[in-house]
Amino acid sequence: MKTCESTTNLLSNLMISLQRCTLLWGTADIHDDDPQVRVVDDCVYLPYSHGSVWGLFSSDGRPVLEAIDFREGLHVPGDQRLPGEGRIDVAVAERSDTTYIYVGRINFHYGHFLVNTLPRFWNITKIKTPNTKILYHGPMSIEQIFSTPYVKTILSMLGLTPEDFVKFVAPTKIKHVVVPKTSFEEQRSGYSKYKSLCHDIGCRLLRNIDSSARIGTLYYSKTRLRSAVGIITNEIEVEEYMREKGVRIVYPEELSLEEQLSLMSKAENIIASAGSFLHTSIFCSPRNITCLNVTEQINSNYTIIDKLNRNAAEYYYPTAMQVLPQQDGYLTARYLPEARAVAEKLFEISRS
Amino acid sequence: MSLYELFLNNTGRPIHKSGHYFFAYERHFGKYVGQPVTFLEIGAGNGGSSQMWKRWLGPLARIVTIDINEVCRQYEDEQVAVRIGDQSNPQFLQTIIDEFGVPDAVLDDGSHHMQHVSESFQFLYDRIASNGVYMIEDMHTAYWPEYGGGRGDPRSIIERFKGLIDDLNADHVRDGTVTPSKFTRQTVAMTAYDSILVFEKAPLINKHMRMIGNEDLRVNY
Repeated sequence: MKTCESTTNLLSNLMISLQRCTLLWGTADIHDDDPQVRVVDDCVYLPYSHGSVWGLFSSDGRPVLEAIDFREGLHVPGDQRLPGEGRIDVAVAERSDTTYIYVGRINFHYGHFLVNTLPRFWNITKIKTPNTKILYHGPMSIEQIFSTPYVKTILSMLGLTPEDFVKFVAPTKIKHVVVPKTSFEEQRSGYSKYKSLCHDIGCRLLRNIDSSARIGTLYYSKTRLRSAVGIITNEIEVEEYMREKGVRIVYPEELSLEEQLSLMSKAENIIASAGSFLHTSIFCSPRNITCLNVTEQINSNYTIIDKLNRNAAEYYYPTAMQVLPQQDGYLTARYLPEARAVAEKLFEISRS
Repeated sequence: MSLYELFLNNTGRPIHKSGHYFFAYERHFGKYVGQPVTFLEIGAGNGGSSQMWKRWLGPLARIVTIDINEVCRQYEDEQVAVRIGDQSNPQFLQTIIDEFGVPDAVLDDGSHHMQHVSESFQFLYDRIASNGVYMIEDMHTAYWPEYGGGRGDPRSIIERFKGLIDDLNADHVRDGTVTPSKFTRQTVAMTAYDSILVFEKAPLINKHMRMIGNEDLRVNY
């Protein structure tokens, strides 16, 4: 029987090929200095308008570049447009009642929140006094944002409440706006200050959780997700293999942030297909991660977080991966041939 | 008799205080002795403290004590009013102001939990008398996680206090990172002791700085 199983394994190994990913989509520089902080006087705030011109502008009408979340250091977010040359010629209200600290567009989608929103808060506890206000952009009211449980959890760990936040619905001239540059430049670089921020949040969240108990291996599954950037249509085969091996299956969308942190911080090994739930590691001590990557390149946001958190993370691409026509709820869909064999290899790698 | 002597000689309902608190009490609440005053005590304890305040502050003092524990109602007397409610509930606090008027002084000796302490302060500070005193005691809990605190934890009242120092001095911040606020205009002093925080208000704060004297005698430029 053992011989038969070995032969099966050998055949499987011949049939599948897992390629260790080394190429990055983007860059992953790490900075130990602080991101810049700029104070903009007589700043013009144009309210959020999807796909239109919005943001912060200096008194001469130029965009405040430190306030823009460039991807790869170059690309303006898809929902934002920069104006042409010249002044922002609009009637404005005026605000000089307090100093505002700008935190950019608050995006409550988990991955975007961790990569685009939270990094603006790297020095909030140092620069915010109880009477300064936090200025943001976005389509959601702050009450709606705080109704997202993990957002409320994270912001409350920073001592922030909905009353601290404000956005304006009309173009507004503001006497003083403090603009902390982001501590995580999407697909470009990360600052150690971001790691410190998240580490502090993680420590506070884990304070009341017994983290002494260990969990062997976790597998993060997307099989119950109803919408996502991408899915593997037969991921259930990987999940079933993992379950048979005694791996604990995690459906992160069904867990609170505290529960996710608790599980992740106790896990000796983490296996997953790439997904923003892996970014949760930034709140934990260094993790061991084996990732099933659906492309040859690693989105460098993962690498930035791995570097900042000193994760031992490896990414593998099954060369036989097949791209399928788009499916409802998912931007991309893929089929994984020999899924069980791939799962077996990932499992072996994670334990090596 | 000093407040400390009243404490040491207490034979009535128990009072639980640290000795050095009396240094702060006498400095900040001493101006109310013998005066008509509404003194809001958050947290009734075993009822001894409200009696102590009554004896010290005198016959014109109205002591209003709030607590979440119904048993504390028995501490009421002709000068001590006890109301039962949550110190972090603005509606409840407003009923206290509606019934007894604006407090001259507040002593928060309630739950000592950071969330409750902050919410009480948030609501009450703007509403106490324009020359009022707001004192929070037992704030060693600001360093204790089980009370929602921890060193450097932004949720702790100690961290809030640190931030408010910048608001207190906002008139002098030149880089635009802090702007004078209502707190700046109405607060004349913030004092920190071991485990105690004090805020003192004034209706007018003269910040006009002048050099007065014989200009001919000025030698140090």
